[in-house]
Amino acid sequence: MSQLAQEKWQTEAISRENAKSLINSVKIIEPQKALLETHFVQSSNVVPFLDTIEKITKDVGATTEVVSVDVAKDNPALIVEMNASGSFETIYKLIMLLENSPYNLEFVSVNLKNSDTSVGKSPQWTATFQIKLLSFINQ
Amino acid sequence: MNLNFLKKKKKFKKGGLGIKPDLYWRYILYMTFILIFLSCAFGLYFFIKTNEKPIIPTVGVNGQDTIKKERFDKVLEYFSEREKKSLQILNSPSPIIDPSL
Repeated sequence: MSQLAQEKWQTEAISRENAKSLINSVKIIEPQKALLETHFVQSSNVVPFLDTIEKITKDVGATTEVVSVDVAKDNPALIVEMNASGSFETIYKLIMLLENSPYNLEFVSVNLKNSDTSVGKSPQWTATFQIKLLSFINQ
Repeated sequence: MNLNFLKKKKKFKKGGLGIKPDLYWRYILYMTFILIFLSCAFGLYFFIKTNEKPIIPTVGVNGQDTIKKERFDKVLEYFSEREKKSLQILNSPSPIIDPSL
């Protein structure tokens, strides 16, 4: 009985030590954790993600409009539908930059259309995107 | 001149004071016993409650192994590379020419 109690006590002591070690490890990586969390979007706050899209479109010089933002039914992902317009170069750069964004995105569909073909003007393109945000936490 | 206050008081009368030290002492004693009893009861309750909770099986789990700083750094480096690539894309011309031209 005494040996059993001693073994239990030892196990608990080891558990406590491990828990302490785990807490210390978490404290050490706290800045990295905070930085990593910026690459994920919480369902309670999707604004930073939409701001990033807005910033990218401003950087390339395109005009965009977010049509819809929906949470996917099958898996935890955010589906964003948006329209963009600008020159071919800006649309192309926009796609490339979205691919390289700080978030994990998947293009569901991209529809590119040459909207303005008048002579003397630089051709205008419109694109309709449907992107899936995979780094999304639905709480 | 008669200085009465320097004289020793020789006669003491019982019940001269309004305070009953014996009664208050009893109150203090009872209160202390009640407090001790309550502390013991709370301690026992706390122990039972704590004992009910399952022990987290962290045996054989080393904090250093579970949370590797290198893994975090690797992921953050990946995102840093992506950021650099984004800047390159932004500052370089499009590799594909407008097909409508």
